Amino acid sequence: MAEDIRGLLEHAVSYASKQGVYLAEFRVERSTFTRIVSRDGVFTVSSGRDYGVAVRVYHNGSFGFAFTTRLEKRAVEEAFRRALAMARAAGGSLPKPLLLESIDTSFIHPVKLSVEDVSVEQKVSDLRALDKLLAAGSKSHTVVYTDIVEDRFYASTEDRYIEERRELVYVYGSVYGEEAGVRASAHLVNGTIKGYTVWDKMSQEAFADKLLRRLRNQLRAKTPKAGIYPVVLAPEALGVFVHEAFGHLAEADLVVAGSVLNGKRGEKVASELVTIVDDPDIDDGFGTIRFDDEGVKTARATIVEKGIHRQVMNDRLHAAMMGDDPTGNARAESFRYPPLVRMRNTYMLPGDHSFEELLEGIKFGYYIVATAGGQTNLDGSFQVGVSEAYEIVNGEIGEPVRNLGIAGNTLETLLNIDAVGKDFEIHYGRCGKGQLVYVSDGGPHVRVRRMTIGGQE
Amino acid sequence: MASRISPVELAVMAVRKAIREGATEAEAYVVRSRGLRVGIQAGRIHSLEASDDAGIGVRVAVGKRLGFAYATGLDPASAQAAAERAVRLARAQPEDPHWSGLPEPPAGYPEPRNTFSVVLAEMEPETLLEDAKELIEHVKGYSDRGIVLYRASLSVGVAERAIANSNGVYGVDSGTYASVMVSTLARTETHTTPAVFEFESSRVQMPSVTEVVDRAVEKTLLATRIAGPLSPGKYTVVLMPQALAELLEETVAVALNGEAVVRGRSPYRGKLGEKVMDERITIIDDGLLKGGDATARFDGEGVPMSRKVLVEKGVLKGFVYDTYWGRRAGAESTGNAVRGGYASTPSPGFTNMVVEPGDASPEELLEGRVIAVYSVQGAHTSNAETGEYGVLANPAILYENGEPRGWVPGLMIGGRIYDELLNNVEAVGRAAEKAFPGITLPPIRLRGIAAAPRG
Repeated sequence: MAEDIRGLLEHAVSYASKQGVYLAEFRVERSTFTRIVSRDGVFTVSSGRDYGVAVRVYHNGSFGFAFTTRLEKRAVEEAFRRALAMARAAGGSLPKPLLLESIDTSFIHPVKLSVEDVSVEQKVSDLRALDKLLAAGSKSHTVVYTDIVEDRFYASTEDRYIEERRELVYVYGSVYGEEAGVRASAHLVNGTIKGYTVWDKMSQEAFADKLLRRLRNQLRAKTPKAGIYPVVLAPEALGVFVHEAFGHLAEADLVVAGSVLNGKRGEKVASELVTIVDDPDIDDGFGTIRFDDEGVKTARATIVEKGIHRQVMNDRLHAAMMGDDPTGNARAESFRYPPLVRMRNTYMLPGDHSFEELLEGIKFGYYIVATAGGQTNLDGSFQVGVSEAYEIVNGEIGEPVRNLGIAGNTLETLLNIDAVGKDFEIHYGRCGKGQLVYVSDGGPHVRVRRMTIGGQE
Repeated sequence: MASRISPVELAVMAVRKAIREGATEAEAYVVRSRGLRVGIQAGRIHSLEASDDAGIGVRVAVGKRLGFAYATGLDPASAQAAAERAVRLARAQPEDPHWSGLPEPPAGYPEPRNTFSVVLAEMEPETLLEDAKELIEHVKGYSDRGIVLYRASLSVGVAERAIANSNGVYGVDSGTYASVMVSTLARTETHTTPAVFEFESSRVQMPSVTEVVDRAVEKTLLATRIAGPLSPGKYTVVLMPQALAELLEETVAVALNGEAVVRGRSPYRGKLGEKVMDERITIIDDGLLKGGDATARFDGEGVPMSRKVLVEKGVLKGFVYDTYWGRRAGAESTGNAVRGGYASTPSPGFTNMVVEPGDASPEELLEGRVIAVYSVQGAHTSNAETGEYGVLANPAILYENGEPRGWVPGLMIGGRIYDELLNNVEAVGRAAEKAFPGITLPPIRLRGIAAAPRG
């Protein structure tokens, strides 16, 4: 740990310990961003350094929170006093969060080539290669490259000192086209935590091919028919479903608030072909973290195992409240926010069907490849917007279909999964729950017997 | 104590530093904000948070090469480092052939009303907590009807913005805000209703927590009864203010954005003076709205805020621009450079969006057999270029001759919003309300909307 930060944290912990609080936590975060945007070939480069200390205190039934952007002993003491005053004033009735043993550790996520060792000129020139390919195949386009080097330092009055460093790279492309009076757009995202390897993972040519193919399909696509149909979900779409429609309902704060999973532990909530986990430890996921923002060692949460609901994702408070092992799902967007229960890498485990077997026997249905995101409600109803889809006609992939939405009740949909493919993919994104965090999601291809398709006719 | 320098002095210092480093033009934007927030989860006070944030964003041009860098805090050394970095980044990139400079100083700035309150600026946590406790107690009063407080928050704060650029733009603006958010659901013997959301905000006083709770409860109770099954087909739909706001923000607001127009992505491009919506629809962007959530003296690059009619009685009158996109369109900035804070560059966006109320009474809006949609899930998946949407209407309530018949679970609605706002409008409500921060609008009744209930 950088010596100055270590010293600051030790000082803060010793200062807080003298005040006799149940738990005080300090998070120093230092993030360095580089962002390159091209709008129709016009480039803007920006960079920033975000640096601050978050202080959270649990005292007398409430959490108090404050932060400062000044990394000085006195500023941190002041932030601690403010957080404590906040907790005192709140005078709530929350149970005590889980306490942990002392620890002193650091972890650096390995990278093949650090983004700090690549010049801005090189990054601009690599993005320009993608920019040119997209310009040639669309009427208007946007590409965004973002890299972030994040150093997170954590210390608490339990004598826990943790440091974790990772690099994130995120590439986003969007294209717009017009053809014979028809307008359409398409989007694509790629990411990695392995340093400056994003173009090795998917070259500019492969990225442009995939994105422009999506656009061309949208331009000649037909409108969907509203109604209830069998559906095959590709890994990218399934990942969004698993995260948006299901995962949020299994976040401990939402379970306690009354999500449809409330009281369903040990019960069948999905077809026995379905196993869904939130995993902090996959090789290259945006949600791959060793410790969360409450300094808890992350653990895999098996939310559904062969159709049975087993675990919820929790933070220290909810682990204590529900008598569960901590899963390490507390994450904060930055030092400006206290952590919330958030997902990491959420996916469905593969089964044993081939893609052809999934399509077999469907006389008419939809094959849904990519989405524009989705949204769920505590009542278990979900919507997922679709940006790439095809008809399935007599067991074969048919013509492309324009923007449609799928919806339903999450648990009914999971019960209606009657075949799970043997393939597997992970995708990259960001999730908003008042705060934005980087997550991954994915899974195999699956078949759902019936799903509501929203159409325009 | 570290040496204190005012935000605008820091901005001037950073501009000078950037020019010394070789920038031909420079701009610095400083934001300093303080606030308090009470978070309520599952009916209990969860946390009380204090925020105290400050930072500077520096935008420079070296010829036609642009760079931007920011730093947190108000430390002069970090601000100067950000200025230096912005110049270095600008040198590292290709020219922007369209760049035509930062804005010039205006003749003066307007003085908008009802944007600052000393009471809010100096509110103590205890005062905010009293409101929070009252909110919780007020919801408990509805527990016999199955109402549960899922989540709520109360926020109050003050922000100072300062801007300076090398053309002589120099401005300071301070404002306060307070807001209350409440989300409730109800448990009945047969089902759990969707969680509904209500919100109120003010620049000068704490909104009434009991009023926000009452509105949320009223909406929630509509979903405690389930309507009989519906078959897929075309229905008359009333988009209530929140649902309409969710759809408009992802579609019409994007189509009226000058950037989308210049880039050819807006369906309204080239249609100035043409009828693009029903004649009962008028849309205004008003940066000087009295007490408006986004009301201020100047926008994110120091251009005075103003009021613009964008759609007047269905006829397209204009778009919102910042300086860059305005000049690219051969127009001027409309005072609509929006910034997320000191860490982001300006881009065109809405300030306060107002859809003018119409003349339909609630009875007229709900006449016959209609589906009233109070909120939608998935509006962000709509396509702004084409207006296509496919969203879950939740809660959707079936009305027959003004009488609520119950919740229609799992109802998808879909269509093309641009076509529907032009051809399918049956009525515009005479009561407009604030649905989200910065957007005020009435309910709108549309015929022939495709709807598919859950199978």
